[in-house]
Amino acid sequence: MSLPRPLLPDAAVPEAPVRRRFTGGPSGAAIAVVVLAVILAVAAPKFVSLDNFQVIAYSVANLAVVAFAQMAVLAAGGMDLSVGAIGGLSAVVVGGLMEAFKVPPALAIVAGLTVGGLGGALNGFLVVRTGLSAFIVTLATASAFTGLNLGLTSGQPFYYLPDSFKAIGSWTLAGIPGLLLVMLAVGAALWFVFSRVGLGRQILAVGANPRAAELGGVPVNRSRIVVHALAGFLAAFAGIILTARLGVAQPTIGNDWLLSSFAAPIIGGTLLSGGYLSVPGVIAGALLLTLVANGLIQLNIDPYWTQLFSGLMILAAGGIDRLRALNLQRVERAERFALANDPAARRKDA
Amino acid sequence: MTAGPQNPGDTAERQGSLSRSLWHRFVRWDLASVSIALALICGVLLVLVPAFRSAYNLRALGFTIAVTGVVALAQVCVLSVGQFNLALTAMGAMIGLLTGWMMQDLGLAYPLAIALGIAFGCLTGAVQGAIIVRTGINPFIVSLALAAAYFGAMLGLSRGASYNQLPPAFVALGRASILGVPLLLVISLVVAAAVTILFQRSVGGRQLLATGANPRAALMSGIATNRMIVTAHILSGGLAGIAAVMLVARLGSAQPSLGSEWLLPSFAAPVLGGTLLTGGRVLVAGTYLGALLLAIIANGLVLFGVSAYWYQTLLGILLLAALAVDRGRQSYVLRNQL
Repeated sequence: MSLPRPLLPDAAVPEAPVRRRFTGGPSGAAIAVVVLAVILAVAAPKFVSLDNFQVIAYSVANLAVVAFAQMAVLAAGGMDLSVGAIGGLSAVVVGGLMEAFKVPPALAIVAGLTVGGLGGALNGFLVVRTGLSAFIVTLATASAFTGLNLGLTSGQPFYYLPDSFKAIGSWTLAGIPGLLLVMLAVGAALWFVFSRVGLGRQILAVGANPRAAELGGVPVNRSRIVVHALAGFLAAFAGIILTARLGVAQPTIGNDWLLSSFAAPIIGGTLLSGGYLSVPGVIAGALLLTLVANGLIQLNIDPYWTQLFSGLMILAAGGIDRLRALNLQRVERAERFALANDPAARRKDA
Repeated sequence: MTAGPQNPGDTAERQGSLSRSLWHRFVRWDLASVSIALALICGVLLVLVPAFRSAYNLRALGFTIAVTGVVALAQVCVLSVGQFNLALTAMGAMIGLLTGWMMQDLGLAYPLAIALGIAFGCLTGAVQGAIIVRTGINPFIVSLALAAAYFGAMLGLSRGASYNQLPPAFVALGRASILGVPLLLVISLVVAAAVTILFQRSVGGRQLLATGANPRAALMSGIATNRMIVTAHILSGGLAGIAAVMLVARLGSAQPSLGSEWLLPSFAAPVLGGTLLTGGRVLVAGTYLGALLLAIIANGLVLFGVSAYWYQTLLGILLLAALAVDRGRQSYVLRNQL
């Protein structure tokens, strides 16, 4: 065990070295990103330009935060179909508070993040208390949140946002878009939580094996509620930074997040079955999805086809996820077999 | 199976045993929750809103239920083996556009176009089922990915076009009535009857349910579970095709946005009607009651002048409430050992 603080009994914590070796993490996605970037740099002359890099950076920043939300829930063995609905709701809450009620941006942002966190916590609470699958709960709450969003706004965007709020979306540091840095900071915080903090480890333990986690003293229900609240918070965060960049709080924000929210984590090695996640992998996955969309435009291919490519990519990623899971099973079976047939190993184990 | 005969010696139990046994029988009834909700809402609408009873409104309701019912059955087929079909919306849009294109641009006779459209639906379902079974990729992800792929392929090929010049004979089908009942509703009920017979009476249907209830046990009993899963997806695609063609006939045009609102009702209607998400249990009549409930709620909101935007919120809350109530009902039955 190479964990810094072994908070859980061994049964609850997946063997980190084995998992890391065979789940690959971000390496596959990173290689694909590099290959695609090289191809685009050669094939599309306008691909290598500061403008285009900034466009890509903004897109990746937003997509990655959305994907972080899904990643967290997936790692806990659940899923959240309401990330887009929460993102849109938070965006119009922030926009509405600033435009209609003249609330200062900082306060409006806090309110928006709170709405997102509470929405997520509601998801988690319903999953835990009713025993229904996360799929059907978040499908239903997604509809409820979207309806709330449209009912409150009547489908109308908020256009008149304060300049200080819009500045959040446009500041740069030495030419690097600020939102990209913000996304990286969020990613670093998540990496820290899931690799170093007891709560994060507990969430992973629940995802890997809820029964074992419970026997190991992990508060399973609390972990599930927390991870859903975290996902809601991150979805709201994504909705708000997108609003700041667009300069308009549109009720349609989040409508098209669902597919990419699953695609980026899966491409980046987060296990669908729970228990393992990779923050750099999610960023690489988001970058890959963005490069494909960007590449289609650069190569003058009809953007109508983007969805087809996204779909095929997520299917491929699902296939890789499946291969990883099979590999992991084989390794674990081999190790169990070795343990059962090797008296020396058994003695060492005892 | 009522409470009375089980304790014949207990005289205290006998007192009021008729009302009690009726209550027990009602509580154990799978459609108890959805029926109460339907009765309440219908009662309110009948008393408060005279327009609800108008022939025009009832016909509109009939059309809505006809399409929603078949959409829900398309989901039910996959639910029977314990899987989801998230690609239902994309399948509907693709098949609708394809049928419109065949009729308008290729000039095919409409019965042929309908048949080809439905066959294409079966094909998309077969692709989905084959990928799930052959690769072992998580079925949720497969149908999510295929939804995007189908939708992207459709938009790429059609470039967002829609088809408005459909044969008059075909459009007339969407407006026709038999003895005052919309033809589409009749077709929908015939489809429902066929699906009921499939699941209740046919060996294949029972094998589908067995696969959903416990795939391992089904496999051990000699059921080709993989073939059952593919079959369920083919049925689902075919029914999505029927629903799409019905909707195109009803609207008189085929648009890419066709079916974009099918996803939640496709789960809500079966679940409200007692079909299990985990597979192995299917209630076709309940699915139609669920579809009726959804349609009447949407209708009631319109009649009360509530913005249609709130419908989605209500739909979500209703779905959760119905699931929670039904959980409560089941645990009541278990606790009191009825």
